Amino acid sequence: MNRRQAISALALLGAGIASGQTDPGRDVIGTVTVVVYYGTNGDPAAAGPRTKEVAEEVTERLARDERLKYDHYLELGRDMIPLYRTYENWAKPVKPSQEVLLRFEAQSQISKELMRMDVELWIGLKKILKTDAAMAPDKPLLVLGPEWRGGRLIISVDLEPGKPKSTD
Amino acid sequence: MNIFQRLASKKLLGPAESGSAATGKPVEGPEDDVLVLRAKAGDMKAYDELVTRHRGRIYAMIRNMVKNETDAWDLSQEVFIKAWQALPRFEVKARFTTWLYRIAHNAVYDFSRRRRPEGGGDELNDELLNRDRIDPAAVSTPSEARSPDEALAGDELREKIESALAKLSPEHREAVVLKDVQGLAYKEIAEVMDCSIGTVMSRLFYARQKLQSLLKDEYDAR
Amino acid sequence: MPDEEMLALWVEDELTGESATTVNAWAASQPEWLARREEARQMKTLLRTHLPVSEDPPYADFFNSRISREIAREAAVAPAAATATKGVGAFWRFFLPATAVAGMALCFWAGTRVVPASHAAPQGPLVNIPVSAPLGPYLYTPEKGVTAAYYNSATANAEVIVLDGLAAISDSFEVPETAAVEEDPAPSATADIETPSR
Repeated sequence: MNRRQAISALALLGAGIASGQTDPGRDVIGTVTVVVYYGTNGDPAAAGPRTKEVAEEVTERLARDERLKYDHYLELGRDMIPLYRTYENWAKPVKPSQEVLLRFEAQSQISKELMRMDVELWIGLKKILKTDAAMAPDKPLLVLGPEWRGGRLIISVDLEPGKPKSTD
Repeated sequence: MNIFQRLASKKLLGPAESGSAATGKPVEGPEDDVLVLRAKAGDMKAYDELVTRHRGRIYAMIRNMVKNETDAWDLSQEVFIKAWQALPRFEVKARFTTWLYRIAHNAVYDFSRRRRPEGGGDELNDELLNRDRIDPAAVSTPSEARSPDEALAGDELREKIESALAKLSPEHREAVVLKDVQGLAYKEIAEVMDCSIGTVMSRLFYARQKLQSLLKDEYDAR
Repeated sequence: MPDEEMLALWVEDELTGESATTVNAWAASQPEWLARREEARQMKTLLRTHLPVSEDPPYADFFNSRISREIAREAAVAPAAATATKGVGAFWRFFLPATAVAGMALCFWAGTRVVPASHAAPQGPLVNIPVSAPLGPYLYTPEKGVTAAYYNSATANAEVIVLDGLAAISDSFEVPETAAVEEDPAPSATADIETPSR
């Protein structure tokens, strides 16, 4: 490669870098998983046929807490959404329905493992709750929500920090 | 009779009232300076008094800028929290109100920037954040704070005006809100929006023309 | 012809004294500018008649108290965060009286009852948090009659927020078919972001 070609290549590389520069606010700094559980002491069939079973470890976790303890748990839906550095994002765990929505955005890194996140819970297109949860790995935020068909919804918000692993 | 005379239910006033809009001089009393000095020294009670004094203007301005009332509430909170944090840098000789509006401007701008980067989110946000779609019985509305004349037929017209304002770009909307609603002087607006007086002028001109056209359409559609 | 800035101020009735007299005289023969000033006056009248200059936010007392609480909370967190990240300088922060921190924690917790007293749900055991509890999140429930209470659940290893006073979701709501499908968490590489200029 002669000098001119090298300069052209460098110029193209520079242009490529410049055009590839994205807004740092779009950096994905974590993954938020939102799950909507249905807890009931009545007949779980009331939730209808489209629910999923809940993993035993989740059932055990929820049942250990008196306020979250029910005879039966079912999963109504879930969503996994990237957490951007400075942009908000929305989770639609029972999509395409917008009955339950969450808006969240990163606020600050409190410590290496603890991140503060603004979380808003919307039910029926109304803002119901806004909070700034300090999220730690494997320690979800659980919101005991509205009643439905004889039971109650429990909305779980979990944050896994860091970029999502490549699935390749 | 032109469109404004048809739309306005009250007799037209003459030139704008005297005050900061007419003379460009600050209207805040000496008490604000005293409170600001005390707040800068860490006096939370003084700052609380400043919040009480200015929250109405800031909330009204932000409410005209963002569609959702609860977002306006949150952003107004943010303005006063940020103002407290920035107080050490505030020079008392400057106008406290203008400085607050500047922080509000930045808060609204940052709020708009924090939308979902994917295009698919816009429909979701617009549906949720469109004030008209939210159940008015559910959202904490400031309706109890409205003046009696607004409780009259003006409510419907207010909605039309708000709807027309929402159709302007943020920059044009802000210019007309700060000038024609909040009554800020030209130079103050330029300071708040961090632009030249010429830019304020052209934005105002365009915004008023556009509003006139939008309101004429809504009026004629009756 | 007056310069642009002077004309702008004249249109807004912000020109006074000799400048105003000069421009008034010039504008007497400028119907376009007279019309522009008149439109500005009329627009101001229309907007000020129907949009408030000042409007107290809902729950005004709470508005203030929440600001005070957030300011105090950030002041308390700032030294704690500095302790976590800094080295030698952190040593001096241990002199921050533990009682002051505990007192603030109690105040913050009391402040997390975000609904005005007249709308508060009956107090339950969740509200009685020991003084040594860590700083909790702020809780804001805009819906009237809805309250939120937070606690750290050691048994579930989770943070829990209990909402009371919520309207039930209608029984007619059905779980949609696709609700349980997981999405690819990576954002679209071709998404555009609107970047408004300042």
